[in-house]
Amino acid sequence: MRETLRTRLGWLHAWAGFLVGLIATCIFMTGTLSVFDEEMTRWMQPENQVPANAPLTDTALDAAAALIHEQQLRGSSVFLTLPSPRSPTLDVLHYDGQKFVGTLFDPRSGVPITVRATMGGTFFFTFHYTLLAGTTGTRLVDILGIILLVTIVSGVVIHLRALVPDIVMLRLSAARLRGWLDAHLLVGVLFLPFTLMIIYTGTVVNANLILPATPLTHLFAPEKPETPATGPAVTNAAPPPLPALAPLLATARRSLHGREIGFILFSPDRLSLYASDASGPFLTRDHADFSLPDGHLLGTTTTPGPIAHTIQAMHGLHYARFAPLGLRWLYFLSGLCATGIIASGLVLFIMKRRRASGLRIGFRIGEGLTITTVTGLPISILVFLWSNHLLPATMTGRDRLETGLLFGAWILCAGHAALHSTSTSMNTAWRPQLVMIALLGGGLPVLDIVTCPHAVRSLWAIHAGMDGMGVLAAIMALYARRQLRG
Amino acid sequence: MIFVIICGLWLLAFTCHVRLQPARYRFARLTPPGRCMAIMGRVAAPACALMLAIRPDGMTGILTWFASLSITGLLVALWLALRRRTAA
Repeated sequence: MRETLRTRLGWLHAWAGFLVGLIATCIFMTGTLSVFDEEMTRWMQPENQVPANAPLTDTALDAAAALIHEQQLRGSSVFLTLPSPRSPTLDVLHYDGQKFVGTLFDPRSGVPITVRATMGGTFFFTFHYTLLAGTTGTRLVDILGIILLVTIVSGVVIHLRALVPDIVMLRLSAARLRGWLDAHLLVGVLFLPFTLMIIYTGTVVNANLILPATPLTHLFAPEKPETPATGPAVTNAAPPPLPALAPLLATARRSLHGREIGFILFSPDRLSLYASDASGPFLTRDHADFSLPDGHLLGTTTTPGPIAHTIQAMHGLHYARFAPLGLRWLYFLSGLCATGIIASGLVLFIMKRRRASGLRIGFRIGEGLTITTVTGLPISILVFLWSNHLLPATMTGRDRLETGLLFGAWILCAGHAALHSTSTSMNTAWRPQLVMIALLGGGLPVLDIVTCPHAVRSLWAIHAGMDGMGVLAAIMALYARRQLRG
Repeated sequence: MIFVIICGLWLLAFTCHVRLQPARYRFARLTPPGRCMAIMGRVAAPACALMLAIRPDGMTGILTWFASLSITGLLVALWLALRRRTAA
């Protein structure tokens, strides 16, 4: 009876894991990169060389306020993000339907900084939770999260007897399949707390999209087109001039119990100063409101209560915006290992079925898709980074071209894997793609030093981290290639 | 620094765990007093690590505790695998 349960759960774990794992690998890989999304944006905009913790001056605030008022007069809906250690510029932004764009100010002098147009780290963040398919994509990601939780629970039940005794068991000298299984189990068990936490919180933060409080008929109703944020939120009366922002910031900090201010939203009759996401593990939208044009404090809005705190903690844990640098690195490493769990599961699924079904068309497609996911996505991410540094900084539409090149490279990888799916050994597809990762990843530091020497010198930590990740990807790819024999 | 100490405590816990499974990990069997010490170490070391981790900040501490478990466990497993391979 027990064996029957394990067998059935094994079937569920394998098939659900494989089908969901193909997309989950992409979600986890981009989510892991999103841990350093701000840093990636800074790497991809080498013109912005403002050091972390640059002091914010009244001059800069006045310059930003003048631009905001000018934009408001033109009917644009903009907001202001304040400098933080991760993103030290003062940014006047609006949403263009894909990303936040606008003017970056040096917080010390108030001088606008001209930077190249790029999606930056935002691309990975957006891809991670929407698959670039808007609300429908977010719903899909949420459903995949639930299936992934089922897969994990079934995997734990299958492995329950050896879960604790074999917690540090890895047999590299055993047969190749045994070695892969050990690696999958080892990383799966050791990183189980992180994996469960990140999938559960990720599912909960957008749970309202698949389990709405409103009737289900609304859920499947056709989506309304988004209101273009750049479009005029026209009011009849001209917006009043903004008061000096520095005193309001000080008042808001006091009203929000000493928390730093993250961003400011502007409406016709008031402005709202929101607590920074980095100010604590509970990700809130607590804010202080001030009237316009005189700047009197209208009051503070907080969301107390255990339910609100629970959901704030879920958001905080998943987004990790409160995390100091060390903990952020731990999130990143755990994310890499969680990606490795799913990727190794995909490879195991293929390896186990190669002997029995290796010549079937379904198997060939499955292996082609696995290659496209496991090696194709890293290649396209590296192409994205290379194109950012190689395309002219002033080129029109370069941000769209960067994204286009990423998807172009991914399609080429898929085509390459499909082309080799007719050959007897799929190593002929794995090997060139692994070599490509090694070339692009290993060449990243050279490219960075050659194309942006000033930025490498002034922001060496960010550039060393990014380039180091490229080199790490190259080393891992070369190691994997060496292991592919025959 | 605290992170290193927490990792060290996890290392102790994993070492005790491995010594308590001599057949699986190919180690010599412990004497009864040694076994008793290993069981105590396996329980006490993670508890001490947890107390140390959550002292400055609860949520960050718990996240650090779990992450250090994972990373130290991975390093111990790699060391054991290399030891096994060398022995083979």
